[in-house]
Amino acid sequence: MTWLGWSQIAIFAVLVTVVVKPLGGYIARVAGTDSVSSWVAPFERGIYRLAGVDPSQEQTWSRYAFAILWFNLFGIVALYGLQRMQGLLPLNPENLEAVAPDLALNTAVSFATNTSWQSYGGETTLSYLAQMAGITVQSFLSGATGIAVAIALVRGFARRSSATIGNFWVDLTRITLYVLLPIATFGALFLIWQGVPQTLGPHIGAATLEGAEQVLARGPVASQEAIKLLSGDGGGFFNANSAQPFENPTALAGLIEMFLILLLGAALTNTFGRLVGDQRQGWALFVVMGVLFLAGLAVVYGNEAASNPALFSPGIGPSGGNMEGKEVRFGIAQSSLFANASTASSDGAVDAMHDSFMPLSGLVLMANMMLDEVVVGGPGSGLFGMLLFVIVAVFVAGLMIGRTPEYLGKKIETSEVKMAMLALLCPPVFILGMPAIAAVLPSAVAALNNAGPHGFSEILYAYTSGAATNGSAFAGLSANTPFFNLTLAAAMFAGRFLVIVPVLCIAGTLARKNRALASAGTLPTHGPLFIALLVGTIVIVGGLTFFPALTLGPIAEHFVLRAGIIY
Amino acid sequence: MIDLLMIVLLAAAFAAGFAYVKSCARLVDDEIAMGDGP
Repeated sequence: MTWLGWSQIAIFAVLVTVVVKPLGGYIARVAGTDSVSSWVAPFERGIYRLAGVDPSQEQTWSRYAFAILWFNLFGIVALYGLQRMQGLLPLNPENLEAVAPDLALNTAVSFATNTSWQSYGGETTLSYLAQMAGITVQSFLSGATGIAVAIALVRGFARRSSATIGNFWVDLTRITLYVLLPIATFGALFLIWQGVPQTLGPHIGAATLEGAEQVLARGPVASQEAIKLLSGDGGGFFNANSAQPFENPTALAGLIEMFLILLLGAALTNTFGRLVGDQRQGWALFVVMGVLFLAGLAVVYGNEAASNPALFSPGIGPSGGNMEGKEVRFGIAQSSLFANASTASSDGAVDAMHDSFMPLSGLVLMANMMLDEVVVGGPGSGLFGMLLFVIVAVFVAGLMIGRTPEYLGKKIETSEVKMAMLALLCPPVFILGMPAIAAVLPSAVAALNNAGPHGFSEILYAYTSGAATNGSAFAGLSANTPFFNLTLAAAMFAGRFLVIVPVLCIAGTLARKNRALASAGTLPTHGPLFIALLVGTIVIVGGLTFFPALTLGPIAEHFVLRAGIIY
Repeated sequence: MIDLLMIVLLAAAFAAGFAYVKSCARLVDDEIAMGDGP
């Protein structure tokens, strides 16, 4: 590790922290009903009129959930149809054929659920129309859906004796118009300035120094890149994602891309604090996220900066770190930071190959996703995931001292604890169950590039990425098979909706309750004691659930690597 | 034909999703009837 590497990390941390308060306050305004911008408001009203939505009509939690399901069903069918018919549609200069049915379903579910798992290479599979009207549109809408769910849950904590938690269509519209569109537009313009292509022209040829002909893929990249990072989507225009120089051309572009990945997840903690009337509550959650993020980053950076013992032992000598699979233009520190940011959020963009990271680094990247992506997390999903752990933490605290658990004056009772546990336990069923099935199927094992614990990590990472709606790939797994396409689609669907529904249910039950005033016996939830309790709850719940599987993969590989065995 | 199969799979998944919402609602209503809630 170098001081220069830590300086990059410090600059990034300051950049994210500085923006939390102003952006959090702005999103809190968007979460209300007042006009945010006089010149965008007519568009907002026009959308409501066109869609037949009465913005003053609020929904119960179950109606809110039904609206999300219907909206996503429509989105998945539309994206599926677009891929299947792309050969007949315009904006297809490379004359790409229809996407295979199982891959089209996997991709449609992937982007509608804000996962962005890609079993395909974008530049060789999808037309410009499918990328723009399908992938990019879903990036906006799935990101807005996550934020809407988080805001609905926060309303549950903030409201008193209310039967409703907001209107999904209004939240979706306002978040898209006032938050995602403006930031993504500025982000796209910035990336174009840095050298990211934005064109509808076909791929071009170039002669290499040896005189060979090379095809340079391009397209409407910048407009997709900005929202891919901002919305927690992460699906690359190109197969190599942000490791492709046309997606991530400069060190400054890389810094801003990482900033966009964590921007909304971090700012929403402040939105939470403002909406519940105590910003300290939001800062407490931000500190918990920051502690877990920096702890994970220290492990990743430390392991990558150290030499790989498999290279060191034969006498090759210190290599200056583990450079295999790294973004060599930016170095180990930036690659480690990007990988940690991408897996700690729900984004899943990559600028270095996670398959080539040292085993314990790979463990951290998986753990970031396994912890329900609450280490900052995606836009909305990070906040509502963290609030699920808060419910468990205050429940545990209540058990320890023999009092009814409370959070922000709301009694946490049987309904909330059951729903929180349901939401926290559903993804592990898919994260642990599906690799167990895949690991014994010869056809699935044949799709691996590596044997032993590293091969198991490739399978475990894939389902973790899917069920945690992250979408990043470890690499090393040829996932474009009907088995992986369909089972990963199931994992992504379950990881999104089996969590969102209980979250909305908690919002509904909490909104019905009154808020009690704090008394001498109330556990302060903005101080160091609660922060430590929450960190402990997250680590212990995550550790107990996933430790056995991690032992079979990265932990076993860590030890055998030191014995000189590589896979 | 395979497209039809994919649509059927999708429809089954969303049918399960809608049933899941109703199950959660029923569970919460039962809890409130038993004394949990406001």
